Amino acid sequence: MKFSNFRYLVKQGFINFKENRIMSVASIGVVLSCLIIVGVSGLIAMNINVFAEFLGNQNEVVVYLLDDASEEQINNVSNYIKNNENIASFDFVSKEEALTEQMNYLGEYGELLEAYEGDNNPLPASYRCKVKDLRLIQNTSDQLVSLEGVEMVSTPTELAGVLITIKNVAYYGGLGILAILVFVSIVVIANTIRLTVFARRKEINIMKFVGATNGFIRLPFIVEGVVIGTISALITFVILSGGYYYLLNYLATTATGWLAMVSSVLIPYEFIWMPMLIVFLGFGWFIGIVGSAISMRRYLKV
Amino acid sequence: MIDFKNVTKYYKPDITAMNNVSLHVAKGEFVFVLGPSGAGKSTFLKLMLREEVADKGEVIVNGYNLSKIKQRDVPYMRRTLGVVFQDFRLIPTMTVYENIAFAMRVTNIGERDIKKRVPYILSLVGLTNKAKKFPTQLSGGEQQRVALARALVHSPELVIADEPTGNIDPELSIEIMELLQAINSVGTTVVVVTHEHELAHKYAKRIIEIKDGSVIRDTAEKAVMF
Repeated sequence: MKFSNFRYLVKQGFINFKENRIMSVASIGVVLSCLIIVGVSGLIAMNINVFAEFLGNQNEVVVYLLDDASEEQINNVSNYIKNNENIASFDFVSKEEALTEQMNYLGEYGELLEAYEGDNNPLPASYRCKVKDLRLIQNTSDQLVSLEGVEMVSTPTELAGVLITIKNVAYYGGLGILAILVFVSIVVIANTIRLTVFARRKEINIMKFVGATNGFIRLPFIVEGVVIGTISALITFVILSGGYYYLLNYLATTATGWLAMVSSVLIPYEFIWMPMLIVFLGFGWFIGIVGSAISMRRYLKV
Repeated sequence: MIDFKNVTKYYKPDITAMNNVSLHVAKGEFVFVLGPSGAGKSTFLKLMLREEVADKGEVIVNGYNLSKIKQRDVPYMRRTLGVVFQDFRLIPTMTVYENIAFAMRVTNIGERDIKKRVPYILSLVGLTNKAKKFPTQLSGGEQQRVALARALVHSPELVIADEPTGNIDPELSIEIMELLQAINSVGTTVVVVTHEHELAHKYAKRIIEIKDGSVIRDTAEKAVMF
């Protein structure tokens, strides 16, 4: 296709968009609403995911060592932990440190434990390990408990299970909502553009009889769909990224207690605005193009 | 140019619109296809434009076998024809100039050639001063000339006119017929589909008469007028 003709068809698309103002506004409204719902549920799902990850990282597998473990056995355990792929980081807590921790925990009653200092210390030394993948936590813990010199391993299996469930619900729920909304948007856009196409069916018919190819006829409508998609995406982006920005700011300045903890974990604005823009534009274009292509199919069969 | 070989076309449920029709129109001919309404003229037209496909037999237009043509080649086949429809089929949202330019754009002709060709064609049909008007602002005769201009603008080998005198005054119809003859004189094949005996017989041209879906008469070009 010659460039001058391509430019002409693109221009036609914009002209159509302007001439079918009411339809265009209606379509933008529909795509906009869908994008906002998709955006909000996406943001919530992503943040739940990040939050679950954060909670997961607070989870520690604690490996208690036998009091009479030999130096070699301890080294062995330490090496094993170091080389374990599922362990992100670990701390060694000696018997003394464990006791001091307990004493600090008891505050002024900590003195009561003084009698246990030195050789009387009943607390075991331990490795506190942060796990990378919560789903493998049981597996990792089973490996650790089988090592020589290990007395026992405490694993927060139940909590891990809950967190995994939350992540899964957020992930699959988000995907499900996304799929439904994509479908609904395409159907609605297809119907809205179909009205435009229907209003211009005679024109399309004439075009067919002077020898226009389907691509030639389709291009202006696709441009129309892309324009609708782009405008909706940009409006959605302004609303949601602005809203998110202010929400984060608001939480950062006013939140207290657990809410402050939550807000400190949320995905920062500077990480999210770019993906948001790209996803919205991609989504808007996708439904614009697919919607207009679907709505034209019938009228091109001449 | 045009070849119908034993063409039969049914419409559901049991209407035979065209029954075993064979005819041949050679390059450079001027032919009237004559017949009362319901005789099969529209079917004839639809088969040539491949709006319909023959149920039996073969239709060959400008070298394209329309029974075998691929869907994506249909637009290219249509570009070798110029059709003046009875109802003109102009695009109401485009000016006269745009309507004609559109037929060129479709065939992927560049803007520069369009700017040269369209004013020339408009002057040929005598509509230079109406270029910026919309079809609804024109009289029937003027609209028809726009339709004719659009049919001619891409220099087709074959021009088909469907009832060119149906919707306009008698004087204007003479004008249109003269234009068609002028086109024919430079080598373009012209097929005029009409129900008017008078029109067909006024010019000493070949007449193919159809009735009830069959060719009942095919008279060669005559030297003498009726």
